Amino acid sequence: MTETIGVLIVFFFILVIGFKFYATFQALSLKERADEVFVQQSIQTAQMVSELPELQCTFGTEEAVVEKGSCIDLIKLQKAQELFMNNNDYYSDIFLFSKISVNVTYPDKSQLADFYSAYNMDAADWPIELYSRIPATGYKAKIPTKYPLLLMDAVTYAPQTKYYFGVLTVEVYQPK
Amino acid sequence: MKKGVIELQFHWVFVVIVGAIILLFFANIIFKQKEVTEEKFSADVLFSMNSILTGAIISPSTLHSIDSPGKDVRFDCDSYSVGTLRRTVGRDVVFSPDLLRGRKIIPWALSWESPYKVTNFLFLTTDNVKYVVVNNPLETFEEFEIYGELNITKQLVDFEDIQTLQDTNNYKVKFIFFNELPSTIAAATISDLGIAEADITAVNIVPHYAVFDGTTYEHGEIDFYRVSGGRFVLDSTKPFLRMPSVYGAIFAEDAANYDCSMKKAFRRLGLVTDLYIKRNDFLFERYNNMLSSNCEYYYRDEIPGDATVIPGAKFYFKEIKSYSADFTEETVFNLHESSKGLKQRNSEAKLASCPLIY
Repeated sequence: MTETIGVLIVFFFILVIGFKFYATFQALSLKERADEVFVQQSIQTAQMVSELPELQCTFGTEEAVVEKGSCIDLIKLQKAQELFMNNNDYYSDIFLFSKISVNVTYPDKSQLADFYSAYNMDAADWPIELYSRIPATGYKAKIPTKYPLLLMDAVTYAPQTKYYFGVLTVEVYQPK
Repeated sequence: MKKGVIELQFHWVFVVIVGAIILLFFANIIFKQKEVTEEKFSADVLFSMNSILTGAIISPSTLHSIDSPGKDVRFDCDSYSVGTLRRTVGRDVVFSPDLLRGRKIIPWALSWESPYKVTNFLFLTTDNVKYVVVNNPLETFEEFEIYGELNITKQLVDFEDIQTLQDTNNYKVKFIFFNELPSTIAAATISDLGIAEADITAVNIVPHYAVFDGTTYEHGEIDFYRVSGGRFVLDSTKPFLRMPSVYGAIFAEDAANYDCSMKKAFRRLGLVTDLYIKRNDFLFERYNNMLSSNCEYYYRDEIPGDATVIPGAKFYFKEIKSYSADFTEETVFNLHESSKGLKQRNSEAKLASCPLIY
C-alpha cells in the first residue's frame, strides 16, 4: 500500500513538473506571438499614416482625384497637428499609442529661407510633431518606423510645385 | 473476514478511486487544451483578418481573393469576431455580409471622394455569396458596367428569367436590381428557387444623376429588400453618393449596416473638410496680400461678379462641412451640388496656374 502511494506521489510530482515546463513554454510562445502582433501593428500604423487623406498630396481633376503615393502636402502638414489634437477621440483609434513626426532631409534645413517665409516657419520648427500619445502607465516596448517620402510645396514657387525629401517617423508604443 | 481479504478489497477500491481521479484530471486537461487551441486559432484568424483589412485599405482598387482562414467570421459595422474573440473595426469603413463563410475571402477597397479623397471604403465578401445582377433592358449600360467590375461569384439574369435561376448551394444570395420593382416578382418565383428566405436579400439602385457615358452614378437612392412570405418586401431606402457607396450597399448585409458605415464616412468627411478649410484659408491669406497674383479670387468665400456674387471655395467647403453632419437624401443631394461647385473652382484655379484647392 505504502509502495502504491509512493508511486502515485512520484507520478504526480513528475506530472506537475511537466505541466510547469509546458506552461512556461506556452507563456513564452504567447509572448513571442504578442510581440509579432505588435511589430505588425506598428508597421500598419505607419503605413496608414503615410496614406492619410489629411496629409497626402492630391491633384483634383475633372474626373477624379489623383493621389501621389509617399508624398505629404506641406500645407496640410502644418494644419493637421491642430486637427489631430482637437479630434483626439477620433484619431487615437487610428494612431493608437504613438508619436508621429515629419522631418525634412534634403535640401538642408538652412537652405529653405523662401519656404520659411511663405509658411511662417523657421528651421527650428523641424521636425514637425503631428501627434503624440504615450501610455500614462509607461510602455513595454517602442517600435520606430521611418518612411522616406516627398514633401510637396505648392506655394513658395507657385505656379511651380517644389518637392523636398523628408522622413516620416512613427513610433508605436506597447502599453504596460 | 481475514485481514488479507480486507486489504485486497481496499486495494481495488483505492485503485478505482485514484484511477477515476487521474482520468478526470486528464479529461479536464484535454477539454481545457481544446478551448485554448480554439481560442489561439481564433486569435490567429483575427490577426490575419486585420492584415487583410489593412492591406486592402492601403492599396485600394486591387481586387484579389485570399484563402479563408477556415473559420466563420462575423461582421458588424463596428467590429468583427471569430469564435468568442472580437476585434474592433475602428474608424475603417467596412461593408460586409454579417457572416463570412467560404473557401476564399474577397477584399476590395475603393477610394471615396466628395470631391476630394475622404477615405477608402472596404468591401468584403466570400466566394460562397452569390450576387445576381438583374438586367433591366431600359437601363442597359449601367448594370453591365457594374457586372463587369464585380469580380465575385455572380450571375447576370433578365428580370423575366429570375425563375430560371438554380440553387447553387450558396449560404447567401443577393439580388441587384436597377430601377425595378422587386416587390412585383411573384411569390412562386422566389420559393421555386429553393433558397431559404432568410438567405435572400436584394438592393434596388435608383440613380438620380449619372455622369460620363451614363456608367457612373453620382447620387440616388438604394432600396433594401428582404424576403418574407416568398416576396421581396421593402425594408428601407437610403441615399448613395458616388459609386463606392453603391458597392457599399451591394456588399453590406442590410440597410442598418450600410447606414452605419456611411455615417462613419460622413464623420470623416467632416474632419477632412475641416483640414481643407484651414488649407484654403492659408492659401487665401497668402494670395490676398500679393498684388502680383489674382489667385486669392478662387479661395474666397464669395467672388464678386459683374451683377452678382458667386460662391468661392470657402463657401463650398463650409457647405460640405455642414452637410456632412447628417446622412440623408437631402444632405447627399446638397453635398453633390457643393462638390460640383468646388470642382469647378478647382479647375479654374488650375487654369489660372494657382495652387489647387484640393
